[in-house]
Amino acid sequence: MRAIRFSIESRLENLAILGVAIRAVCSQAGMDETDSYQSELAVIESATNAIKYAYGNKPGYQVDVILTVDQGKIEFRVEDSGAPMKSNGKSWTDFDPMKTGSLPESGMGLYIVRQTMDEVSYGSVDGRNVMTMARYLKET
Amino acid sequence: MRLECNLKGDVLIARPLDARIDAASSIFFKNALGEWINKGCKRIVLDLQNVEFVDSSGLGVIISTLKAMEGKGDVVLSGVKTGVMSLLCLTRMNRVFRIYDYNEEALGAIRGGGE
Repeated sequence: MRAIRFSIESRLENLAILGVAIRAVCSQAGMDETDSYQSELAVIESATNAIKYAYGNKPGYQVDVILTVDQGKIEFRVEDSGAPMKSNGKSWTDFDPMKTGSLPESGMGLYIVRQTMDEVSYGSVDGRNVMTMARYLKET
Repeated sequence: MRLECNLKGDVLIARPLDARIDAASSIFFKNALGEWINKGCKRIVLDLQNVEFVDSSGLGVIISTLKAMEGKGDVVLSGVKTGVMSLLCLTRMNRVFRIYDYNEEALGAIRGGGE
């Protein structure tokens, strides 16, 4: 098992360096270009939610991302100490691609996480909000 | 974020010069494109050849640009890289936007040359 932790302050401009680091680890672990991109995407969506909603876009707080490579998969844990995430219950996928007015402009993040990851769970651990995601590595 | 804009007739070719369109840069991107729309621009080729990463915030801006035209204009994409294309497919936006390899094709299409 190999694990690495990245910590950023709760500023949106810190997402870029986090994303680059995530993609590099995924690539090094054997993911192809698309899988690495989608793993970065899921982590960035989750970290963005932590900054924007858990911390209300306020700087000075910490978002931790722990990657663990083990048993043919990579697990990604995104942790914050802010307000717990609430689902608004809306499904943005209910749109007609031919009707421009029906297209969604937001609310896609959690859907993307679910579509790109093989395992997803969210809960509270020791008072922290933890989004745990995992993606299986393809056999070569 | 830096955005290079060139008019070809009445078509705006907008090319982000940075590699990421995410929650940190999407507001700038939205405002910059919104200014062109407010000036009457109704046809935009969004050249993504430099863009390695788009998240849901960035995708939301591309969608909002199309919606801002209220059915009287069009946005087509060119130079979409593999990862970004996977986001468009995941979200079914590949069925909303016409996507081309190069600006010349995109220009021809948005001027009425079809697919």
